Amino acid sequence: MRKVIAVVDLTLRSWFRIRSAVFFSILFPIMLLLIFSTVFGGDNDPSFSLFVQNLDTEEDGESSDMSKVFLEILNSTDVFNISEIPADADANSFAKDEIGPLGGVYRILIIPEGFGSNIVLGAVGNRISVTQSTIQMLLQEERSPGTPILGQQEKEQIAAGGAVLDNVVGEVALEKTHLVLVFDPSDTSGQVVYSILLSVTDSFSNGLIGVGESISFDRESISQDTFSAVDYYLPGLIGAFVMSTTVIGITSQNTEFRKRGIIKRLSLTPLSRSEWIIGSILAQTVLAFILTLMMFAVGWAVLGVTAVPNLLVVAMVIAGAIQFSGLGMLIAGLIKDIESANAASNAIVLPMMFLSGAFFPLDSAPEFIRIISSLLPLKYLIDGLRFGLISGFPEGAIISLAITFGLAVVFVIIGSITTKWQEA
Amino acid sequence: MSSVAVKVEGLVKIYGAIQAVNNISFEINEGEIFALLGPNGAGKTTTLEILQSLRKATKGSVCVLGYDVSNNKNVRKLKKEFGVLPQDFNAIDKLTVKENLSVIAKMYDKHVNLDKLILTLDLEDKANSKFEDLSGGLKQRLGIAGALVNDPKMIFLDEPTTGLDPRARRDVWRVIEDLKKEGKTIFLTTHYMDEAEILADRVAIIHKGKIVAIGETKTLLEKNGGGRTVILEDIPESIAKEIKNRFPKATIVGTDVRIQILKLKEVNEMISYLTKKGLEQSLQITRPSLENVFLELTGVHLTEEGELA
Ligand SMILES: Nc1ncnc2c1ncn2[C@@H]1O[C@H](COP(=O)(O)OP(=O)(O)O)[C@@H](O)[C@H]1O
Ligand SMILES: [Mg+2]
Repeated sequence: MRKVIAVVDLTLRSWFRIRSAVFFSILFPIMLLLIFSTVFGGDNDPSFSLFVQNLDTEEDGESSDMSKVFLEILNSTDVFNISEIPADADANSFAKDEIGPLGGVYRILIIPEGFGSNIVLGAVGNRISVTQSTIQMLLQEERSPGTPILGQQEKEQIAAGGAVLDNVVGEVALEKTHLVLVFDPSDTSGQVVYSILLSVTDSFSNGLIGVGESISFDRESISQDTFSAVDYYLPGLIGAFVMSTTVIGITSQNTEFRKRGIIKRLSLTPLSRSEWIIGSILAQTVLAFILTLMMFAVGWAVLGVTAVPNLLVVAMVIAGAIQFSGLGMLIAGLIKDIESANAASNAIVLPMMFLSGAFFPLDSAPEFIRIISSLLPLKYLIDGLRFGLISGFPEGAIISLAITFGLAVVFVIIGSITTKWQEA
Repeated sequence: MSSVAVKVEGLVKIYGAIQAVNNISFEINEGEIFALLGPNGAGKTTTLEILQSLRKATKGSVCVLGYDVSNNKNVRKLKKEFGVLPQDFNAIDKLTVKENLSVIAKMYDKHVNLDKLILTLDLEDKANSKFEDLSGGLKQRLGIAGALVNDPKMIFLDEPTTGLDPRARRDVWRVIEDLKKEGKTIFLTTHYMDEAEILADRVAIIHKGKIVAIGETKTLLEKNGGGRTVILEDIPESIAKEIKNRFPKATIVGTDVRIQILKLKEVNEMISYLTKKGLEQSLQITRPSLENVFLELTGVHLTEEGELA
């Protein structure tokens, strides 16, 4: 352990003294974050595209008030770029026509008929239930043990009124409203969109039906209402730069140290190969956390981000740092020359940044791009971070987390095999 | 009676088509300075790295401080007991002298006091300078300090003074002599004849992967380097050829002519010959040296840069 910490220490110390490393790994991402959220942060920020077909119409063909309110709320989250589909159109063919032949994926949210009235009735029913339980409590209240507040006659009258209420409640029994999200299975952001919609819907229905005493309503409504462009870019940039920092960091350290005989010098001490590998990965993980915290700090201080890194974000950063350290070890193991190895790590890192939806959504990209994207490890790191930031720890995130940890194991094993501690 | 620190028998190392080390055997006694002397590419580093268990031997047995280096468990213990200055030593550029030493020190369960070590190697003025800002001589001294961090019994120094200016070389020599006084066993490689001659108790001369001579430095000098060498500098080619005719033992190295002479009579003859040609000022006479030993044994001259000529 002492030796592992010594490796972490030497790596971080020398890293922080290389100005270009600090610039490209920490200051540059922060600059990009600021630029991106300024450029794209206006009203027309490009978020997830979403078609909505509202089937909840009144006799005159107008949308119901309640469904309009719901759409307003969706719009105000700033996460979605909403286009409406007329109620009488075939939703799928309408969406296909709209996006054109090269348009990529589409998602449709269908608001069912009766959405508004269900909710209104649900709210009424809910209030009546609350009234009923208040009455029940009143009936049982006693002035002192054995002497009830109400007399027998009063009690009977109230009970009769209660029976009427029971009938009404039966009439308005809360029917579940089924919102439907249609999305392409190849649409890798579909899960994210789904879980955002889920939480928006949750806070919407809580706000209306839960009688204002729900604490979770307040908190959720705040976080849902303050989505902005930065909530899209923050996880993307963190993921992209965790990748580039670790891949480039490990590749350049390993090739340079090998070329200059420092690996050889260390291998002549009792430091073992596995201690070296663990120490190097640990150092990169620390850097990844420093980067993540700095990005959040800027987000909090300047860009109005309110999200706090939760357990999922922490787990994703760890898995990502390990995974890309393994990749860096692999590159350095295969390519001995310093310049070629650095060129190779850049050639892997840069396209991956653009193809993984780190900087802009790939919703409207052609299908083959989205297929390539779904094969890239960075895609899952960013998805996981986005899940963690936007929607807590939803089920969909398990897949991103599992894929990233799985790849981390694979990359570290292959990377270790190519990291030599003995000469030929 | 001194005991044996290193025992090498029938060592062979083949890299693909290159036979870098060709069946060599030698022993190093505890407490002595042993030099492996030979030109670039002779197989010195390869031999050293096999002893340090950094490379696997193709054939032969190697025993260092009582450990058979082909056994991995031994290697782990062995690494705690030796110190190494690798060839072309580098430390981490962005770390200071002290930080670099501390990196190496932390790899051992026990290490010497680093401030004292820095004083011993006269590095105190530069203790907080980054490695990248040091001169060649200081870098090399830091490298030697690194080899001493764990207070090792045995020290390997691979070309400790290559590329240094004469003053820096002498500084390093002094450090090595002090280490011997402390009773350390030192195995150094070099292509400098004078280095081996001044420092080594025993020398093995290696040429094309083979040991061509081995023994106490004194004995080697007496046996093979006996007599003096007459060196004639800047001799025109035609005269060089004439000299070669008269003194068949002469070798021509560039514009120099070297003749190994055993008898004083021959020296006198040479002087009168040169005076006739008006070239007497180009004559130099050297005392017996490993240079002659090398020439004698291999038939080629070894230059200052470690190349054959
Ligand atoms: N890793 C290697 N692979 C192939 N050939 C090598 C390797 N290392 C050294 N050699 C060759 O082995 C020979 C001996 O090299 P080396 O031991 O470095 O000599 P020295 O240290 O005496 O200069 C040289 O011909 C060199 O080119
Ligand atoms: Mg060498």
